[in-house]
Amino acid sequence: MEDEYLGKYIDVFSVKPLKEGFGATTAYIAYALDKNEIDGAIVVKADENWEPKAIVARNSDDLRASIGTKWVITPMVDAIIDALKVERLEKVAIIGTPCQCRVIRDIKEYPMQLGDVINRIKLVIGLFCMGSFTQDGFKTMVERKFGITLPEIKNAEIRSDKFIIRLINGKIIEESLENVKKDVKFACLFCDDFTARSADISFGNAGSESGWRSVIVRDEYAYSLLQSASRAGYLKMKKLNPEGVNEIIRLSKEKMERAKRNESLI
Amino acid sequence: MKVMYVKLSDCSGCMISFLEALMSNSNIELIYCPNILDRRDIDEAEDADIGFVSGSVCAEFDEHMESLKKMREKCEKIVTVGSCACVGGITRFCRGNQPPQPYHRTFLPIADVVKVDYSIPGCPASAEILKKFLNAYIAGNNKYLIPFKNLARKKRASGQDLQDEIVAKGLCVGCGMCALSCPVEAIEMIRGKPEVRMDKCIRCGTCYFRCPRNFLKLRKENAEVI
Ligand code: SF4
Ligand code: SF4
Ligand code: SF4
Repeated sequence: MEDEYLGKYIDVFSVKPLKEGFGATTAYIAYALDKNEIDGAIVVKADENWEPKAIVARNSDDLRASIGTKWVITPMVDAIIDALKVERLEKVAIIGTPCQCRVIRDIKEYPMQLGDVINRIKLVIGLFCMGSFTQDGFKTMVERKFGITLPEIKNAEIRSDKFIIRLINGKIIEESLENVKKDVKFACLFCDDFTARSADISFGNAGSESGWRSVIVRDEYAYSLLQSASRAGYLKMKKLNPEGVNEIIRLSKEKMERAKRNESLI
Repeated sequence: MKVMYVKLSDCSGCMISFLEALMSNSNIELIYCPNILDRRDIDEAEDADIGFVSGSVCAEFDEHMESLKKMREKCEKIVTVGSCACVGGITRFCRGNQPPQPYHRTFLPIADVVKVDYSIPGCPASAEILKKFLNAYIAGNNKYLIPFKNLARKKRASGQDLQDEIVAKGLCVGCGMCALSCPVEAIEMIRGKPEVRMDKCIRCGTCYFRCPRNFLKLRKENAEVI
């Protein structure tokens, strides 16, 4: 199916991770790694200073380090070269924001660099995105707006219209999304892709209840992996209800309108 | 499909890529290519459907200037292969006065001399992208050819353009693909942003064309190219 706001897709689900300590996206990748469907996944981990770094996860233990959204875009250059050229992996998954998925698709379609090895990226996993921060921008925001430092943060996520930061000491900071949006990087104001339309499968919170994640499946292989992961008990899946789908469409529309509005800025 | 290939001032890297792409495609008849075929006189060559040229053209080298102009007359479409032909590339640094041809001093991108229809940049242009171009051209997949068509109007591109047009304008998303593209590792990602070392940059333009923020534009018919 093709939808202006959802992109090309096969179906939309809501999934809940059943694997201890894993999120929905990582549970999905863990299944693919455990069953040797892929032999490496390029993911991002953050160290205790929230300094993000792309790594090549070879098994589900490596993956644990990457759980949770990082909120900043991380160049994956070194990890891509490690996976494809140094370790010469044959079946690689990559997970990223819509813009990162787009550029992988660009390179596959117009292979100006990397040669044939780019085709060893078998699975492009997208994350819903309303905008991200620059590394310095994120640091400035949490320090100035919330009066905390990066190492104090345990995780951060968006739930409906709130940006929620959980600290290591148990404290929770809530901020209205509208307020946080002002800090996203300038480049994101021109981006019209909320659901990672060029990914094989896209994950995101929007549309699903707490503890669940929405999944847009766009590719047959990605779909079969999701079904097998669910059969193997890595996650639970159900069809996403129409209200959920509408919520995704609403945000996608909002992002497209924002991009249109800002077109004249450049 | 009848094809001409003319190699002007380049390092031969693009020609090697082109020959690899050529061998993978059985629909192509190479009718003129003085580097590998016997017939050397372009006047005797028949008309071709498409002509590929690699390397920039030396304005003081009459033989090259002539064959380029004749090639334009004989080919329905002209495609520049590789950064030297497209945007000058490393030959932008040539100053001449070197043996064995000390009088060769002025090297121009092809579009400075004749009309170019499609540009395939890269240093060298990769065999993979040439294969895709040939397949799309033969299949008449015009949508796929749009970026190459837009690029044909671009006569210069370097790491400085990336810095000015993308990074300084706040359009960089920090994906790092520019750094991955650079053949001389002139770009380093520092705290998620590209820093170009212009003293290392060979002006191939690959980073600028690869940047998703620029490529998004290049995919649109008649995109504005600066
Ligand atoms: S809003 Fe767009 S450009 Fe910004 S991080 Fe998300 S996908 Fe990338
Ligand atoms: S920075 Fe590198 S990729 Fe960009 S134009 Fe210079 S040499 Fe080419
Ligand atoms: S390719 Fe473009 S968007 Fe990506 S890091 Fe380089 S300049 Fe930024």
